[in-house]
Amino acid sequence: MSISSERMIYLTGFLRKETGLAIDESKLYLIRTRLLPLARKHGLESLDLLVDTIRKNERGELAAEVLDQMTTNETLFFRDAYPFAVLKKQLFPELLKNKPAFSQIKVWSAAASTGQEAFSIAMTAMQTMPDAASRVKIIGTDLSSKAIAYANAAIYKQMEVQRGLPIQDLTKYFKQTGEHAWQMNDQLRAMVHFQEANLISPTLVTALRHYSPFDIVFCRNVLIYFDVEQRKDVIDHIARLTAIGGYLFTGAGEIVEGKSSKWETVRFENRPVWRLVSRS
Amino acid sequence: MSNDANITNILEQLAAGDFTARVNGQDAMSRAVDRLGETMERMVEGLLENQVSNCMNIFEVVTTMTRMADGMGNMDERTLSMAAATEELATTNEQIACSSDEAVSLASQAVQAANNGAASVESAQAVLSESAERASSAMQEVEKLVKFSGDIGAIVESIQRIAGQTNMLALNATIEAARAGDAGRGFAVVAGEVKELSQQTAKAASEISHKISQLQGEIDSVVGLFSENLERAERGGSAAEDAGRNMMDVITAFSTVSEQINHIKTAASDQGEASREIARRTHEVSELVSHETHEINHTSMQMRELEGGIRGQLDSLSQNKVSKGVLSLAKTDHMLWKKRLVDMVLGHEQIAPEDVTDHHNCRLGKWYYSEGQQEYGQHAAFTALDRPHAEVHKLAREIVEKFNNGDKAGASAALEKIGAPSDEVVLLLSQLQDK
Repeated sequence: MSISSERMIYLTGFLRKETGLAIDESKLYLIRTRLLPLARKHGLESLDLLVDTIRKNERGELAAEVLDQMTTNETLFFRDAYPFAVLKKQLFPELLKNKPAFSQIKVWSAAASTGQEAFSIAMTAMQTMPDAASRVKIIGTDLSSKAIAYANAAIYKQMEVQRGLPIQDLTKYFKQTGEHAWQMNDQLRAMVHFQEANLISPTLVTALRHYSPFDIVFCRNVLIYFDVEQRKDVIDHIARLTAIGGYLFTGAGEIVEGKSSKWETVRFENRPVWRLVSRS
Repeated sequence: MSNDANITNILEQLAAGDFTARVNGQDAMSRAVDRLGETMERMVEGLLENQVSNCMNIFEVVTTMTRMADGMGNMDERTLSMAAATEELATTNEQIACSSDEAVSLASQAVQAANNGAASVESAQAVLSESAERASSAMQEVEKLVKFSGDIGAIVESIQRIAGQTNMLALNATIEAARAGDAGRGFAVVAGEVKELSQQTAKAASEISHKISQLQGEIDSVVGLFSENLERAERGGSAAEDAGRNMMDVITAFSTVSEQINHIKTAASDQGEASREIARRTHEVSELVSHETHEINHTSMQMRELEGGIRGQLDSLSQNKVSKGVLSLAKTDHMLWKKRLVDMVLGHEQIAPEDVTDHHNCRLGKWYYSEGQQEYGQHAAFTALDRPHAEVHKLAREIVEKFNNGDKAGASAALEKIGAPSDEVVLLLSQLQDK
């Protein structure tokens, strides 16, 4: 099933405006495979009809579902391993030493998806400091309301807990609630707060100001989906919510450069981690 | 009861569905009625058995389909997540290609800047060597000046000598004039004047000589400065030469860097294309799997409908009383339970623990410990039936209890074990039917 080029232009424009996703003709297959099941679910016969429907109501439920479907929610527990080793060996001990005992260590998982990253941070904190449950506050945000609802429920499928999670952590921090279902325990769930947030939205900073300034930010494998201008805006947004000297983890190959903010690279475990020098 | 009334009664029982009713009379009528009863009983038994075997087959199919749908559902999730992962891989690769593109342009900018630097160094070098040349030619001029001042010194010396001699001559003349007396008086005046003049000349010459030696001192320091400058200019020249060479090294290094980044870029964009292709294919696979899952669920639903129909027929057939009916029905009862347990574990049905009866209280159990005992008690198959039957009930209870207590893994493990005793029950029941 194909899509007319005029509708394709509208759809890519809509996606860009709402999510910052830069999708072009070469990714038509993404649109097909991700939106066809949705069209089928809603009894729409073609992608053209689906596009026409969201066009009539860009704030409607179907439009929201389209945005949800088009974002790549690829995540796993302890993804890439090194950020968590850095947290354990360097950043958490450093923050424990330098921050007064009454002030919380604030961590932001800026593209939390279904919550695995935020919970990996929480588990790492639990393994590093005795009072982690009260000392560390983690905020997980994502564009997708579906992903946030999933993260809030914190019930993971067999397949998900088999990806990246050591078996000791599974038995220690999860309880089995179904043949293929495992729920994160309450103590860890209490350390993490999830909410919807759009990294390109101008209201992002206001929405999260209350939880800031963050000592550590994870924003991995998100910047790659934006074009250069939006990438820089997002970096500046993050800078405004990060403490000076705070750290930012990105995905491999993602360069941190803002329009006004200045960052420097620090190498841990021979991997670059970014440190905020100034916001403007 | 008269024979007629008895026959009527039996016929009515047959009509009501009790095909086990018999007249047991010796007259032709009674025998004919009993034959009718037997034929009908066998027919219904046969029908029942057929429906039971249909029903069991359908249960098997539905159970298999349900498990398959569950497996496909899992696979669907896996391929979806694989598709997402490859999509991200592809995007990252493209990002790297893009970054190396930037790096290539930065490297070529650096080469450009280094080239400019090299040109500047070269012109600086030219300026320096020109000024060194000028300084050395100026030195030559100054050296000439030194020679000139030496020459002047020599002239002054000869002037001084002449002045000295003139003074001596004037002195002699004065003496000669004094000897000449009055006649020489005028001459003495002239001689005195000459002496005076020669002394003034000597004085002027010595002043000149002093000035010249001062001038020589100045010239010396100028020469010193010049030669220092010359040396500096030369040193500057060689430093500039070094800088030029270093610049060339930088240019070479940057060209290599640029070339290598270009390789990386090509590799990354090739890889990007390849992984994009993989992502595309994975998405297609995931689309296929989703489609298959959808199909299987659909078929599975149809099979369930079919199953419902057959169970309905079976229920209405089982309203009739035939002597081996309970054996047939017991088979489906147990198969149905097995299927319900599978459904429960896969999340399609809920079963409360109290719904699982003891093995004395199911249809088979009730029959086993009463009429069955009397009718089949002497058969080995009948005796053997008790153990697997009890086992099936025990396991069913265990599965339901574990599942309801949240121990899904335990429930699944126990479910795997129920197959063997359940098959044994069905086999033994079939053996009894054949008796």
